[in-house]
Amino acid sequence: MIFKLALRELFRHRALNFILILNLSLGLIGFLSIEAFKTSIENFIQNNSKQILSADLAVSVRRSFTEPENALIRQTLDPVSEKSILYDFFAMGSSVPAGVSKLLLIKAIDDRYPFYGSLKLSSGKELNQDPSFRFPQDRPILWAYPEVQYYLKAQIGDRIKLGNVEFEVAEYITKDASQTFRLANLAPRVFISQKWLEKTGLIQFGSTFSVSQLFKFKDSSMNQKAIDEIVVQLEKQLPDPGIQIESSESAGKSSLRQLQYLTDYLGLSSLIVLLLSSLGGLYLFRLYLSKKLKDMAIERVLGITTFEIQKIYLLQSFILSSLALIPALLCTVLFLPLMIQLIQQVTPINLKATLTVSSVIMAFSLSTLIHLLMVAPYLYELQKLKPNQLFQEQRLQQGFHLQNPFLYAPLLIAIYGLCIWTSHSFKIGGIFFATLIAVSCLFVGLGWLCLQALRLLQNKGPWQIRFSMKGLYRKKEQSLTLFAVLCLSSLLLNLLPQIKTSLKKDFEISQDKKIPSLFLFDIQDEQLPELIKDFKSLEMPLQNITPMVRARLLQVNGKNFEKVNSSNNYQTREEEQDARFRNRGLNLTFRGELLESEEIISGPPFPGPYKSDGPEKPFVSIEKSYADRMGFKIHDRLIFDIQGLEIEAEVLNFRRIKWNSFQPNFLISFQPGAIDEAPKTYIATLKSLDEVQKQKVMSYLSDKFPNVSSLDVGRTVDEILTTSEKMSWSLELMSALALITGMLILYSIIQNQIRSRQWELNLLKILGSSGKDLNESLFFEFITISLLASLLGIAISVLVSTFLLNQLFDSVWSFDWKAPLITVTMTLVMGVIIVYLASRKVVQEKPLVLLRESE
Amino acid sequence: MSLQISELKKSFFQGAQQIQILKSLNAEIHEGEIVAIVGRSGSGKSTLLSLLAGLERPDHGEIKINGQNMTAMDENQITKFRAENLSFVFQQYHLISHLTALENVMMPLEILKQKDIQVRAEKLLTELGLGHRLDHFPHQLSGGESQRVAIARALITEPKVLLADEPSGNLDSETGDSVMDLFFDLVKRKKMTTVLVTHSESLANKCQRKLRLQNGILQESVH
Repeated sequence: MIFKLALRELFRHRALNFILILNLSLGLIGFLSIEAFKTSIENFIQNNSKQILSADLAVSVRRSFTEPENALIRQTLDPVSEKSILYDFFAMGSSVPAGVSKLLLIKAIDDRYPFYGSLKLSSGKELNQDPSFRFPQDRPILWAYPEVQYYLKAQIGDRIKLGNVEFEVAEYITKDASQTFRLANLAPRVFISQKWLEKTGLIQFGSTFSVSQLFKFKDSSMNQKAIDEIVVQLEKQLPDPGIQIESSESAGKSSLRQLQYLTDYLGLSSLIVLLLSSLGGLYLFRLYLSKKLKDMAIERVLGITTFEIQKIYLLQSFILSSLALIPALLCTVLFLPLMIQLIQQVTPINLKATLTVSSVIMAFSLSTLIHLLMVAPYLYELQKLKPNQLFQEQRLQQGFHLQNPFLYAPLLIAIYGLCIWTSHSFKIGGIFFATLIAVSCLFVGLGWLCLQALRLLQNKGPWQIRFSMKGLYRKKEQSLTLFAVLCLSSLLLNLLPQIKTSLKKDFEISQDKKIPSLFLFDIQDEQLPELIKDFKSLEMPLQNITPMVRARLLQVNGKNFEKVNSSNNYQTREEEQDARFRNRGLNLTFRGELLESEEIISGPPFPGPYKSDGPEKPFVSIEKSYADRMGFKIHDRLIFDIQGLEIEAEVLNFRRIKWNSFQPNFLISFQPGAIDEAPKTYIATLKSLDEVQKQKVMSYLSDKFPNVSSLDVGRTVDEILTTSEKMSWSLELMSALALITGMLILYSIIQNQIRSRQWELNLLKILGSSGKDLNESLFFEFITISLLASLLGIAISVLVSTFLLNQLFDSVWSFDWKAPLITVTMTLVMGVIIVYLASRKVVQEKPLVLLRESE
Repeated sequence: MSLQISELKKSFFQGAQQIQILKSLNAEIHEGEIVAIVGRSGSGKSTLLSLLAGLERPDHGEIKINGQNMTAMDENQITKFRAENLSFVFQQYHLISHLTALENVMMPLEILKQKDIQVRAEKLLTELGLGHRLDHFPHQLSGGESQRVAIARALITEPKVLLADEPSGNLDSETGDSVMDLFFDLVKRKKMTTVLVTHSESLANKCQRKLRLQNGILQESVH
């Protein structure tokens, strides 16, 4: 009986319920798309992790392995696997006939590379596991990414000089299975034979390079658990945090880390859309319940218990949520390829849109859960419904109002959990949840203030305006719902463009004034004086010359600093990031003065150079967020291993670094005088160079100091901005979905308000107002609230973006006028269209309804 | 202001079937006269009222108010004429929920852009015994009070013709009687031509004339 009753009532109110279903569907579309996108990334990782790593397991370090380390690795892995060695490093390459120079990422491979995956070549050949075709080791040839052809003007058969050796360009690589997503590729890849590496002279003491020992297990059926056990065993044997031990699974995951961060943020945006749609759904469901109050009272008189009535409406909620899945699925099928296409623009990986049954069930469960938790407090309040209210018609007409807001506690807890789950981060999820609640409260508060301000207009202007103003501030619940929904959509739509524009402008300004043109690294101690002299004579003085010392953290306050097991399945992004920060080698510097991009935020500055004959330990200055992540406090005692020598230091202060300044900044800086004699290389910058000068510098370095690499900062920044711009499209798409949801809610609210005011409008007609008067009044009422909400949403987006830019990016806010203009115009145009569509029928009809009621 | 109805006909379609609800109505109501129209449910009382108000067009016939033929007017003229000359009292009160009692009464004057609106509305409401309920919203008023506000709203423009549709239909007999006594007192004092549609014979008997609508024909009925 309950099912029959529930269905019958739903059908009778099909117009209202159709909008409700549409509303819930919109919320599901974003969520389903993100779930499908996540699945496609996971599938890609699962299917391609071995190809990405080119092996089952890799042990790598940014220096040469020591003999004891090699012995340990051999002992553990040689009996069960085959081995290949891979060197990775940056170096300047110079094309011989064209004389053009460019930073390249060199991959020096042996004849066993790759164990998995392949390199497809322009000649049509393919380097894979086939023993009949190996990388030629006998002569100096290279295979390069196609960009090299563009940058170095080198055709097949031309030569590229790498250090002391001229390599012939033998092939261009059309597809590399190990290539994954990067925000910016600093340099195109070039493959050379390891046999020729030494002759290039590019790897010297202090050079930045990475050597990887790649392993393929003889037993191809070895399961992940067994591989993880080997990883754990090796990590215990090789405690240096600088040694990375990665299984193909973890390598696959970390290779798409940036894309996964993007999906986290997309997930949070889709959560807002889901919440917005549920809010709209709640408004409509409450309206529906209000309409049904009289029927409920009658049903109570007829003997149906309150519990049974609650069950009917709970069942209706469930049916509505279920039905919402159908249009959502249909739209997702259309929406998902678009999103994949957008992501495809920035990544070489081939993602396939995959909508799994589990994704559908997940999205459906979440949507149903949120909707049920939203309506549950109202259903709970139905207990207060007494049949005697049938005799108090006016009480029934007042509708349904929630008396106890604490009934929403379960919903808030569920949303909090969802935020954490979606972002994979307690920190980001928590901040997001707190911001969501704070912003919602702010919107409601500001909305309330706006309504109070509108109250001042209640006695001003023509009656249409006064009537509208009274309608707005006296129907607070409706006005505030509309206000909050539109504010939130407007905020979402504007936040990203504001941040993007500001960052872009900041980079542009910095590029003109502050950001160096070229970044030189791997300068040897003995090369420095000559470099300084040469660049001075070229009228391009070297700046920010900063020493860099390789080190390893051994102890913190007397306790051994141990690395985290990298095979752990991290539950949150924080755990993952902490592990990454912990499991890495350290580069230190020493300097007495701060760069322009640094600022001490706690603790005193260094008291001057360190005196080694004194009783004190040297001081170190640490970057604040790194210190937070590692749990360092001021006065902590740290022991470093610097090239075999143990040095103890005390944390004196914390610094904040503006990373987007692209200055040679370091997480840990020693007091001058303490490690000055340690083996080191130098980093330096060159400022305000045009393209010709840059090319001159790169050619000079390639000829005279081939081990010194130079990075074109401007080009890298441009690349990051271009990639970010493309990636942000997907977030903007989600914001647009939020706006569409907001517009649908606007339509639902306006339509239902106008419908419920049908007799009121007819009465006004009888009292003498024309259709034009009524239209003016309705337009004024709804356009005012929509416009105010979108303007406030824009204002809050400016505040939030300023805060985020200041806190996260140390960037200066710049106004993006396009997004606000589009938002306001769209709100106005959509508002006018929606009010027109929603009111047309009621305004045009004859006011007979008032008399027919009594017929 | 007199009201003349001649040869008024109105029919409706119910599916494919045409129903002649008003067959050929003729009546004359004199200035200041209070006339009751009685009849059974579905006899066409409210249809007649909507024709008198110009809310619907007759199929045939004329309605003249003070010699002006309403049936010949276009929609805009009717709207203006209605606002200046006619007023309504409904069975369901139909007060605007977000306006106070005072604002509800002021509304017709605001639409007509008249002066001293608040003073006039306050005075009339006080006359109807609602001086202490001026700032109350409809949901804060009892049925009797709501109907008195509705009556005040109808009378505030001092219409020439007042059309009332079961004005005491939603009230208990005691409250209904007291509200209607006030109503008759005011319309008599203001000499308004009043057409009152009702089921209630006792209420109809309080009017100066009683017309019965039966089988689509309007007939004089004796008290």
